[in-house]
Amino acid sequence: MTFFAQVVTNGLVLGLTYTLLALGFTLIFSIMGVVNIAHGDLYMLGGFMTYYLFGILHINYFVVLIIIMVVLGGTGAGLERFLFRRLRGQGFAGSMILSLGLLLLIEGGALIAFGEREKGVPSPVKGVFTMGGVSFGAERLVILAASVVLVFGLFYFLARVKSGQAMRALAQDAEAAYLQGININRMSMLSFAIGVALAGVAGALLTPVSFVSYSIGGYLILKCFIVVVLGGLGSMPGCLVGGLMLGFIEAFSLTYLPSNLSYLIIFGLVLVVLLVRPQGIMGRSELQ
Amino acid sequence: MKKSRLYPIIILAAIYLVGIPILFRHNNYVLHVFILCSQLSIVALTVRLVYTTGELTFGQVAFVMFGAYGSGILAMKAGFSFWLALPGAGILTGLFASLIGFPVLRLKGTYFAMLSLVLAEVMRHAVRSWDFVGGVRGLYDIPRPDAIQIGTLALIPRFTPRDRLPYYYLIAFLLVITMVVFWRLDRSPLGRIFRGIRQSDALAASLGVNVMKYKIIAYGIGAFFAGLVGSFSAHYMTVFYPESFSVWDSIYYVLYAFIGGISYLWGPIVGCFGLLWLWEFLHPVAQFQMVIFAGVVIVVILFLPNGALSVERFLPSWWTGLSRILRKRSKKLAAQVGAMPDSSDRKAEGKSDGSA
Repeated sequence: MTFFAQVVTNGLVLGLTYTLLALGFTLIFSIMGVVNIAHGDLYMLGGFMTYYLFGILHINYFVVLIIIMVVLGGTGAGLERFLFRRLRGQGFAGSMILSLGLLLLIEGGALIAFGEREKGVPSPVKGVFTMGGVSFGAERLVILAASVVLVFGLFYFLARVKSGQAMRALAQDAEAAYLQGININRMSMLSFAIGVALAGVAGALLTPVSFVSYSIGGYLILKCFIVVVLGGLGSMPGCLVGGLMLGFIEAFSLTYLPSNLSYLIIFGLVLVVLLVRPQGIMGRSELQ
Repeated sequence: MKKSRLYPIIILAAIYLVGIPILFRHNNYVLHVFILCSQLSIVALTVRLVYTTGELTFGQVAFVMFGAYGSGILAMKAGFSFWLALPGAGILTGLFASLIGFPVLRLKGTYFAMLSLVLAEVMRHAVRSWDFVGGVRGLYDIPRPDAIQIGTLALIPRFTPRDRLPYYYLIAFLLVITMVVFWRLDRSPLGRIFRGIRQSDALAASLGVNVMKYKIIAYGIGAFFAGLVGSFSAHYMTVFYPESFSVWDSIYYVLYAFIGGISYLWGPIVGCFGLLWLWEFLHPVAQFQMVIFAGVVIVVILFLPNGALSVERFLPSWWTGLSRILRKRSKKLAAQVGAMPDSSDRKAEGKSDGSA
């Protein structure tokens, strides 16, 4: 029973970080129509910043989180302003190729700057919590709390704050939003900044319990695709559903099944979801 | 085809079929890279074919894998000769694609792109856990293509691991066939229907076009050629595993097609040969290889969003720009001399602008 509960906690922690990653991806996709393949590499940048700022320079972990959000947010805004804006409104293929080039650029740069070794970071908080016989490390609690705050903070921002509402309007119908006086350029920049910052924070949160290496981005973006397709392309609540689903399935199947089979199951499930309900579990059914 | 466009093709074909083999006959490395370029070109061309119906596929690697496994099993378990396994694998792959086309092609746009990618991953993981086809270890000791003889006359010599030239000619032959087929297809009524579907599938359907049928035809033909490439690579490398066919290969096929220019028939080929050789030339700079490669990709897609071949669209205006500069200089000279009337000059300029 305790073992089972342990697996559930692992699934929850994994699922929430996947959600964070996928939320950034979805924000960018739904507002800009950009399938940002480089999203996983922005996670990687967040992970390496944690490694250097927290692991080597020993800056306070929470300060590091804020630094990462600011720096990567700025990076995201810059990417939108100088790269992706030029390809706006030309279909998703061009921007996808651009983001693929970006992925190679970041990966190559990381290889030069950080080397090819995997890097681990000591956990930011020490101690083990025990609750009803289930024990889990305090760093997992930090991940849990931070992800919940960020996920629901973003939901609140999109639902209640004026610029969040503007973003949703933009995602629904860019032309109509423009006619209502919404500044498309500024909102696109903002959404890119938030999306990239979320990827960076996910990296900062997950690196202490796993590792970071220059080539981790390509592996993570596939996870991101799974989450997004499961939950529904462009749906924010879908990210939460898809992320938690993937987290739990991974935690359970990796524990109870050979790893070979678990990925077959995950991808098979995604295939079935796509065929039966292409708009995803939470997506709107405006399709077809 | 206009004569002026025919000459460069003849020159290119001569370099490709005669020049390179003569120059690099004993250089297995160069031949190997060219063989890779030709293989990837065929697959990138199939990406383009599917794209002419409006769908971007990220799953072509699944068909390359299907062809490789199909051919490997036909040759090793059923005892087929390579020369039968090659078309056999292509046909099997084409049939397989037409079958899965029914559910898969119901989706459009980003959804189809995602689905094709996921499908490739599902197939790879399925093969990994299927022991009949070698599981994680894959297939090895796949027989090389055998010789064909009539009496003592060798029509096709034995393929040996040391001599890459026969492989070079085999894949070159396949690439030329693919090119000719796709070129004819582009100009045929079928190709016109494909493009019609891409412009508006609703309009095409309203005119009585069975959109699903034609999309499946494009998907199936593409898969046939991807299967051929898979079969070739299986007998060329003689060993492969499920990991040889990752989704990143699929994503790169799309990259090659787009960097070359997916709206051009020559685009995928230019993309493959250009980017692959760029990568090889960048070997000496070691760890900067990836960054420079990425820089080139980003610059091309930003400044030539329709691919490298869309440079041709800018060439005339460069020419007129250049000639205008030249003419201005001559005008200055003329003004100094006081011989050249201004008005006729401006007219000529306007004319050249209009044609640009």
